[in-house]
Amino acid sequence: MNIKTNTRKKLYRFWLCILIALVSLVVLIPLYWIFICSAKPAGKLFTSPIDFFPQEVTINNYIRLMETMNVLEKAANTLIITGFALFFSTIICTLSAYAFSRYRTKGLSAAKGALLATALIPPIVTARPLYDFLRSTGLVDTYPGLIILYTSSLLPFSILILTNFFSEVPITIEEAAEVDGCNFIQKFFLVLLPLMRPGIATICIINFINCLNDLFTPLFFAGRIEVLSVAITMIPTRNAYSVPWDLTSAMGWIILFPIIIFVSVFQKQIMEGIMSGSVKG
Amino acid sequence: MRKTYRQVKKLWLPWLMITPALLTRGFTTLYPVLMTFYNSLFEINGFKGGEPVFIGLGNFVKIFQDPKLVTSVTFTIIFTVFSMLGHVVLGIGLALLLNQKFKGKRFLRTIVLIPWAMPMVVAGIAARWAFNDQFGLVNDLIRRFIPTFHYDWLVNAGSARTAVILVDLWKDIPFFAILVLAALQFIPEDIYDAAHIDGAGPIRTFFKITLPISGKTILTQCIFFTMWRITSFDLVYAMTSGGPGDSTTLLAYRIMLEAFNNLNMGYASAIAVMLFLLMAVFSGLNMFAVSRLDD
Repeated sequence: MNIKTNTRKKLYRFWLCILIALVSLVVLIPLYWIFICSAKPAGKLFTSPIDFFPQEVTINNYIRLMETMNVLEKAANTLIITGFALFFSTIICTLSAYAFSRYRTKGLSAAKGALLATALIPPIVTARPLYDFLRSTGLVDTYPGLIILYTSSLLPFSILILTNFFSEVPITIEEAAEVDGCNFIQKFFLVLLPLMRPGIATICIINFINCLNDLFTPLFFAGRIEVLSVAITMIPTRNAYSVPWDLTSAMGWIILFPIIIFVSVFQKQIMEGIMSGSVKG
Repeated sequence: MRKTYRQVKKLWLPWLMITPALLTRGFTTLYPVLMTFYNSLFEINGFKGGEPVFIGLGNFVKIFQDPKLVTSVTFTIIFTVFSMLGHVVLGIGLALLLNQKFKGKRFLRTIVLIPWAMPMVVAGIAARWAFNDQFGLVNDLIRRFIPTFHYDWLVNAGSARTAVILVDLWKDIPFFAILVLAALQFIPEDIYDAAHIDGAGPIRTFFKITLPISGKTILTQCIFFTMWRITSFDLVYAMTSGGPGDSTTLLAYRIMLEAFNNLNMGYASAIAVMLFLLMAVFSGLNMFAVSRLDD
């Protein structure tokens, strides 16, 4: 009996290791492949079979990318728009989440339902009229216009998560603050917000990634203001049939590298954030 | 009982607090949706110019006679069904793996988050090259086992469609699995211990305990993922541009082509209205399923 369970355990360990290795390889090999493609010298890129451990590496592709594509400016655009969108969405969502978690009336829950339901409207359904509307107000291809659109796209999910976080803050804390003579503004900023810091951090981390990944908004509502996700599709080709894979892979890695670092650092918060959205939502 | 919310007084305050959110969402989603409904009743052609002509349901009649749209709808259905099958089977599998206890759990979770965190457009563009016959990664890996293998994936309709689904699975299964994992972690450990003492094997434990308890969450999640598949756009935009021919033109991509390239705004609106109604049906289905399973 004992020997049997022992071999069973070993077998389980064995298969577990195989599966873990398999999953890791399936994710990592393509990423590694993009990286080595971006670092190979010009003549060595098109070889078959692929040389996975190239002898010579170069940063020529990155230099060429900086010269021809103005990558730094695009990264700056991305960060400016994302930064403002995070700032505004956090303010708007904290206010709404407080209202939804502390007051319950039929009207308010209908409003909450409506807000969350708008998340299910596919962007492509709204794209054309929204474009015409923004053009008539002069907001197409401007920072304010893009920031409004990015902010808006973050709202439903953030409100959902932050409402859940607020519900976990007991109301007795608020009552204690009121007894001590806090008015509403003081109570909100000095008592509640500090308690909400982990929740707000979590939602900002997830929203940051969502903003970086957004292709739809900048593709349709911007032209001159290019962000990284659009820029990778705009790399010029020498002729109609060639793909500029040397520059594309370098651009891909410029986008991927910060994301990999970011995910490694904030793994725990990201997991918590995603999960808290699923179970209660 | 702990008081978690207060009784109604000063009702203007919560409404004031949610006003910015309501206004922002109203202007960026509600108003354009209404406009899309309105536009769908007109013939608006950006190339010919001129005033929009009211044609009633004419655009909707056109939808059912447009062979390109049939292709789009067919592929959207194929894409959604096969992708969801893959999500459910492999996603639950990956979630079970992530739920095991082993060293390096943190490492594996980080790795699994990377595909979720990267932009779909990067995955799509890399895939365009990875599925290249001669120099692509996929064929290279196959050739290490079958040296003479040659196939140009993105040139034939069937294999291009398969490739698109594979990339979608690679990018999105991790996210699905993490959400399943959240449901799995709500199952108390002692139920498994009890099942083990009663002599239930792992397969029986999975079908009799794990699946019934986490089923509701997984089902809700599946409906959301299905809706995201139906409105998917980034992947084919970056990977195949809808080709070869129109074989991988997903519905959302078709609407974009009509609205922004062919400038058929009225017709594009009509397709968008159909898509919107489909989404509404799915949302209703979701609410129905959740309320049914709550009983």
